[in-house]
Amino acid sequence: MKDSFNPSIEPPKKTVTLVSSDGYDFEVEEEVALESQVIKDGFEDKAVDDREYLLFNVHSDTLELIIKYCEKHVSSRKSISAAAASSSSSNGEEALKEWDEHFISVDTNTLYDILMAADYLNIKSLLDLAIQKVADTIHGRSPEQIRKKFNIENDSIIDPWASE
Amino acid sequence: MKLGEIDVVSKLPLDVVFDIFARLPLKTISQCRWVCKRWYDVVLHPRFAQVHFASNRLQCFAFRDRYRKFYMIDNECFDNFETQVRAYNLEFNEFKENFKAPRFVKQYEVVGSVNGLICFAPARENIYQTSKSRYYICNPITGYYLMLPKSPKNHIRPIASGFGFDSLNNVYKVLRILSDSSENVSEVEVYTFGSDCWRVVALNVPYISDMNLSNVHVNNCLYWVACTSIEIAIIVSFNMATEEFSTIQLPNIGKMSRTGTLIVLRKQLCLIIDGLFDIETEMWEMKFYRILGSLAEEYVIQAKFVWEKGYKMMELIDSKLLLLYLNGLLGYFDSEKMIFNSIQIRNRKRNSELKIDIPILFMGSLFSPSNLGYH
Repeated sequence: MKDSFNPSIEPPKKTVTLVSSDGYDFEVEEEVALESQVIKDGFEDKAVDDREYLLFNVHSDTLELIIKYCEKHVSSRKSISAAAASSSSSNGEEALKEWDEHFISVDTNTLYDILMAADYLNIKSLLDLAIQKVADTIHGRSPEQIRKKFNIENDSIIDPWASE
Repeated sequence: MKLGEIDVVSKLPLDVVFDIFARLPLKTISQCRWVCKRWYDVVLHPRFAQVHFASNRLQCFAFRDRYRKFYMIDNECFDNFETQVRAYNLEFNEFKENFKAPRFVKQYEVVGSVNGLICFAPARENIYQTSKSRYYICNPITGYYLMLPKSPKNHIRPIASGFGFDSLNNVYKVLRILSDSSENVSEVEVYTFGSDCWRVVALNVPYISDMNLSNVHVNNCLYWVACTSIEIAIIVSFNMATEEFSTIQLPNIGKMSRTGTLIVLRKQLCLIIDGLFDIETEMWEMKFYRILGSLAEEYVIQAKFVWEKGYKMMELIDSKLLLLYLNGLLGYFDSEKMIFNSIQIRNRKRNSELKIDIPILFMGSLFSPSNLGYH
């Protein structure tokens, strides 16, 4: 019965099911799924037993990475705030930054998939991380080097400063 | 080439692509135009220029060296407070031809810059070219430029020019201030981008013949420092939207001189007064006054350090300024700690040191002069 619900007792971990475009089910903790603004918006309006999300644009390979990222960030946030509460020193933020950097060091195709998924699911910190990665890749490279890096065909725009 | 790698940028949603490009230094963005057609369209997308200009600190520095070549240092160097910077070459198409004149005369002068566009005018001293040269507006980052049609009064040399942006109506305007000192009459004509004629907007504006040449553009107005008959500084303003002039009388704020310099600090118009501090060591004192309507109040920044008259400056971040001495020395000035760090400028290609002749401090952008009046 709903009336007997006692808020002082911590409820068991609630989960959400995410379904990838190729039909795989991923059961994740609610707070991990809520890293996505798209899932968060209107989450409360959804019935508890209907918390299943069909992610038509996200392949299972990418979804696995996205979930890994969100889980890491949820757990890191907890340990950082716990360390702050007990005023013990922690290098949690530094470590997370390093983890992020390692996480996003992927090949161009994977980076593209992550970007599309992060944009689609609206996970701001991940989108930011991936965008910065692409920007860093472009930074300081000449048009020729960029074409090579991203496998872009030179469709005959003339560079008037090519001699520079 | 790695097989199977895809062009990440071309397939992403436009807003994500904008976000990627907005994180790059101006020089790199500019170069990205030449990667492929799709990238070209993204970089020159009018909405991207807006997004980019609104979300970045873009202090740039362009200058001409002693050999009449133009160079530029982009925002990335100043963002990181680099003291050893490399300048790259700028090429302005049709620029030399437009301002053609014998070598011994000054060919052109810098009118001002707005939204990343720099306006050059024929030099007033140069009597050889007034009938031929036109106003030249360019974006030094992209290299795109525009030349204004000649005024019917082109034979009259202006005593000053102005370049501003009317943000209420989204149009750029160039002013020519014409004056006949023997008859004590003056006339101001304006060219609005997108139109095809010069219009006379004002006659006999007070103090206009005694204006200091350098102007500042803020709050939709152009401001100059002028000098009254009793050697008191006064500020003359021109509203870009209403096209009206007005004057701001300054209360007695210490020793005034006609060399007061206007700058913009924290988006507010400020006047710097140079009070003589000690002749022997050439130590000068700068006082900043914030101009609020017709009032001036002393500003928080007060600096005492060795400097010469005729410097220029630009706000970087917090209390840090980019400062340029008359002798061409460029550096960072921390107005809280009172520390000046000079910047050494080298040629990107030859690694030789460059000496500044004509300096232009401006906010870089990707706006195109040919889209003026339409974006």
